[in-house]
Amino acid sequence: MGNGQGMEEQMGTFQPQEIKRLYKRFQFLDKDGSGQLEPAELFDVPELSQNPLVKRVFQIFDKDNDGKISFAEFITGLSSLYGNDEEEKLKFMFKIYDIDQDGFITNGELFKVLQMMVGNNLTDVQLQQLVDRTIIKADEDFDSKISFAEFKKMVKDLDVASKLQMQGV
Amino acid sequence: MSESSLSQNDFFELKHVRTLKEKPSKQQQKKKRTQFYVNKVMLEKEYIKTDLSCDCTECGKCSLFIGTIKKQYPFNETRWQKRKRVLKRFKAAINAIIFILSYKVEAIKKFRKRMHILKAVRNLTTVRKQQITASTHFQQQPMISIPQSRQSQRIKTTPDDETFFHHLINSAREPRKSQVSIYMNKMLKDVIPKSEVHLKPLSHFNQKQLKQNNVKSITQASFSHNNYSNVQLNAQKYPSLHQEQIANNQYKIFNKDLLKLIDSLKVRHRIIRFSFCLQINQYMDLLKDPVNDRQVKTLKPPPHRPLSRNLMFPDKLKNKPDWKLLRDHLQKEGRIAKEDLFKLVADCNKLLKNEGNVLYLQDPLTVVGDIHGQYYDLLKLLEPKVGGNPENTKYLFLGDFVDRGSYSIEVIILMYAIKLNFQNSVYFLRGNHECRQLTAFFNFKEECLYKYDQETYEMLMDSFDLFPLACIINSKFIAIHGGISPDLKSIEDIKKIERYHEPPRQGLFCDLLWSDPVDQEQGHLDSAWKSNEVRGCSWFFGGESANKFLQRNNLISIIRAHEAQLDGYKMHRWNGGQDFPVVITIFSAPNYCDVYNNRGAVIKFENNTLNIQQYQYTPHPYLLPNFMDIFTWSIPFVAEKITEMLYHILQTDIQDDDEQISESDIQQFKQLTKQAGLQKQSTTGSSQGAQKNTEKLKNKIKFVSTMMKMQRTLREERESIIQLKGACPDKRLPRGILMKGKDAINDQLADFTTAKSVDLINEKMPYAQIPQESIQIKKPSTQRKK
Repeated sequence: MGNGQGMEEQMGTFQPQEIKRLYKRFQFLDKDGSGQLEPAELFDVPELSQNPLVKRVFQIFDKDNDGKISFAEFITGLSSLYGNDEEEKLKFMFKIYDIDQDGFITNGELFKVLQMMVGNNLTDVQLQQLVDRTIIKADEDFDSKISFAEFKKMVKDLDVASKLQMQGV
Repeated sequence: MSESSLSQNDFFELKHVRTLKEKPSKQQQKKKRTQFYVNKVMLEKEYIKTDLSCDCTECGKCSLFIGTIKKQYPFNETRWQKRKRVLKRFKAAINAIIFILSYKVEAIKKFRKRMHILKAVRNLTTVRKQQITASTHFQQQPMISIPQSRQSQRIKTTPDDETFFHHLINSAREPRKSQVSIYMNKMLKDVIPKSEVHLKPLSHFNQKQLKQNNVKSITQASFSHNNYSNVQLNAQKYPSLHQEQIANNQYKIFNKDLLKLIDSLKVRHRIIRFSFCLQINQYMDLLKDPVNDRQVKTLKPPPHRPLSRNLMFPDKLKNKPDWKLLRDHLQKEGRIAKEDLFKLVADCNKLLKNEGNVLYLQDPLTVVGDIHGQYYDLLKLLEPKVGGNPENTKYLFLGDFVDRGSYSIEVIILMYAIKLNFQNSVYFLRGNHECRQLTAFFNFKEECLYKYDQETYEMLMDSFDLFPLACIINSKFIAIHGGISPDLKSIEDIKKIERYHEPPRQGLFCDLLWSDPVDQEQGHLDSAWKSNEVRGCSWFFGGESANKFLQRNNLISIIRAHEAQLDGYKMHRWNGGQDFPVVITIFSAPNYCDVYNNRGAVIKFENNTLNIQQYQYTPHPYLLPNFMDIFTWSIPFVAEKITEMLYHILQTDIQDDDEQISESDIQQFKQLTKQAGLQKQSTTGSSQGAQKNTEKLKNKIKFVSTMMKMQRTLREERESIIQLKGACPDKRLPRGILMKGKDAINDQLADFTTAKSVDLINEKMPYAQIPQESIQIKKPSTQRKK
């Protein structure tokens, strides 16, 4: 869907008008006008205070790990979710669990992400048992970590792509 | 007197006077001592002042003077001299420290030596098993004849081999369980040479030699070079020394034996090391933590790989599995490979086929009721204090090993392994859950499919078909899973049944597995048999039918399982309180389904008496319902949260902006069109593009919001399903409902009765092929298809 402009080759899923609107929104969120989104600005949105995954999504969007999201990162991040590419969405989902973005989900990373979501509903020991069991089931090459390929195999029945379907900006 | 008239002598006398006067000059000199010379030059001036050639007393004190000056201001002094000078003051202190330290070191060494000796003595004195030669040795000459001085220690007249062989001889008792002693035991197992070897400590030689030399102290003896060489020679010559020893040939072969011993020990050492490492690698093959970020480090992870064939079927046991290893492996949530499971079951099937429909057993015997996939409770009941160690206890299991708990496979594996190891002392009977219909309805089939596959499930079903049906204990008791039947007149009727198939829905075979005693204190029943609505099949039987049957067959009581009991057992004393109970129900699954909060119990027959041993629930690892893994569980939640987040990030203002735009635009155009009288067309025109866009946008936003809502409801529904299914992975028992009851009343009995009443529907026989409606939320259709 990319048109002639250079920016849109990267953000292939958005029309120029959509990009303009996104930019407006970005400007609105960026209250101190720095041109970059800081975590505090994102957390200011009231509905997001209850959302345990805001931090994770922020870190995924922030590709250069400078602690802020530039508009380019913003658009690139959103494009993977708004597009139709299944692979991209699976990768996004994988990145949620992979905290240090090294391409592997390790024991501790899975535990931490789950803990964010589960809160106090399970004890640490119970959660650790679940994590261990999941890794044993998913891990095929016996490296005690889950690579992206192994992750894909595990979730192929879940239809992640349709769950992460976003349309329209 | 005037000075001019003084003679030389007088002058001298005067000098004396002067000397007296010079006492203050001494003080002056003293003052000079305190005088501070700024630099060398000043000193030298002073020095020059003194006239060395003069021998007067004043000048004679020059040396003192120089000395005092030098003390103040040392010059031309070497570094070493300076050090010496400085350290002189500390000399005493340093010497004292050195002395103390050396003393301490020696004291420590002595202390350690003593402790070592004491420990050796302790080992000696705990010996029970008498080796004749050994005792005579060690009583007369204790091993502690280690010379006291340091130097002699280095020479090592008493070799360390003493302790070595000491362990060899005293292998009966292990006072310590240190790694070293374990290693030593391994080394010296089976290595004891059969001929009695007299291993004399070399100190013995020492002493003999000493006596010969008439030396007073051992230290002296060891010190002398002469003696040392003698000792060495003696070590080689000892055969000739010990004429008091009886055997003649022993000393000649002793040498060879010793060498053989040493060689075999070397070999054993290598084997032990190798096998130990290998075993550790395979056995302790737990899930690794490569980046060391595992959060709960106190918890041991499960084994990563299935148990290897070599460990499971070790050579020394020939064809039998190592049940203890299996037990521990499965307890850690380990798996075994499909081929190994098949082999295990195939071997056991051979044994089962040889058993008739009715078994005949004698006490001592432990009778176990329903287990229902509760592996960790099975481990508890196999303990020596509860049911008894399978190695020395006979076991009879009354059926219902699978379903409802989540570890049915583990239960089956361990039980088959035990049966293979103790063929003549472990027996199973068939329960109503050992059939295709119930395992498919409940969760055993699911567990099979999750852990293995359909083929495994079918293989296990075929294996269950081979289980016998009843057992006569001591010719007095009949043990069956369910109860008696109207078609059951005598034991011969059971023997006539053809049992190698799925139990039918009615008839004797079915009744043996399904019927219940009536729930009434006197066993009173209107008719002899009442149809059993709780089960949806089979019968209730009362005192009348039970007594009739027992009398006809010369039996005292019916022992059965099949019904959950609060205390793990129930005595149905239908013939009054004094008589033996007509029916005894035993139930061995504590905290059944994680909600009943009951105890488990086993019956122990010993010496013609019947004892009941109860036990509590053992916690098991946490499981999500349906053996869900984390991703299946969490991804819907994650997806919902992400869409929600993005919706909130992107939604609000755009709409406002567009509304403002559209409104202002609309107003403008309204004015324009009013003027132009083209009101109807106000919606079209140059604003058309913008408005279309806004509408599109609105639609899209609506879509997103509906998406979000849908996600949320799906997740909530899913969560409610999970909540209601609760901790019962068999999806049948609504724990959520029970939880309310629990909060209201904290009474064990109330818990049990609530649980039982809610679970009652699951005690029914399911309809053929169509699963019966039980208390569960209608799941989305995709989950049903399995």
